Amino acid sequence: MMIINYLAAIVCLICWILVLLKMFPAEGVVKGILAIICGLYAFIWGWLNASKLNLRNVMVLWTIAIVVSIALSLMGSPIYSR
Amino acid sequence: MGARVDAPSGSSPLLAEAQRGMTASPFASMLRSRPAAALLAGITALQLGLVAFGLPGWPCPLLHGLGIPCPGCGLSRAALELLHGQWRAALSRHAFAPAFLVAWVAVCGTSLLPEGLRLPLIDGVERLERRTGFSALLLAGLVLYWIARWTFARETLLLLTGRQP
Repeated sequence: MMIINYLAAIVCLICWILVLLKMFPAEGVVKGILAIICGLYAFIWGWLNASKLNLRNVMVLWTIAIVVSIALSLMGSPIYSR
Repeated sequence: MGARVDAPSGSSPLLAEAQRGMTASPFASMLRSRPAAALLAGITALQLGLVAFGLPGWPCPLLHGLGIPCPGCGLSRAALELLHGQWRAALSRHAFAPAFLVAWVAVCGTSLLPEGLRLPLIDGVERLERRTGFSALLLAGLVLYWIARWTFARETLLLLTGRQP
């Protein structure tokens, strides 16, 4: 369970960074920093621009990782504390 | 000398957009797309609802992956405390909760209002943004706030985000 947790966390982190790498040149510094501050914004932006910037696979993977994280959390896994 | 080199074809729109993002009004440009604003407003409302009911919400990549709270961590709970009138608790948890709520209300408004009201609102936001640069100032302030908390009040920050120091 914990291993799946950590794997999901790593996948989330990698996908977020990949979206940031596309976002900074496309949207500028201010929105890029906003996406660093608010990962949720990066997630939404990623989906809105998935086709245009070839991010569909990344976003699908990120979404799956989020669903897995939330599901494990609901099952009582210590997802938010270490 | 000093001639401007044109970007290769295909990347000029991206370069122009990036330049616009740095100098113009990023918040207003975000509000202009109704679907994007609606999606952002809806997902934020969902996040607030989940947190309000004690359910797991958005797993922050930085916190979840590296154990480091991001600059926005704690905003959801702080915003809920603010909505309940608990000003002191909200500002202790995250000082930018009021700004976050104002931004969320603006996003909700621009996604729901009819075009006749929506466009003047966005134009007003854009004028204010260009005149004051509030987006960049708020984001810079948020980052500095996060650095200060991480440097001088790390244990409190970790506790506020549900982590063990």
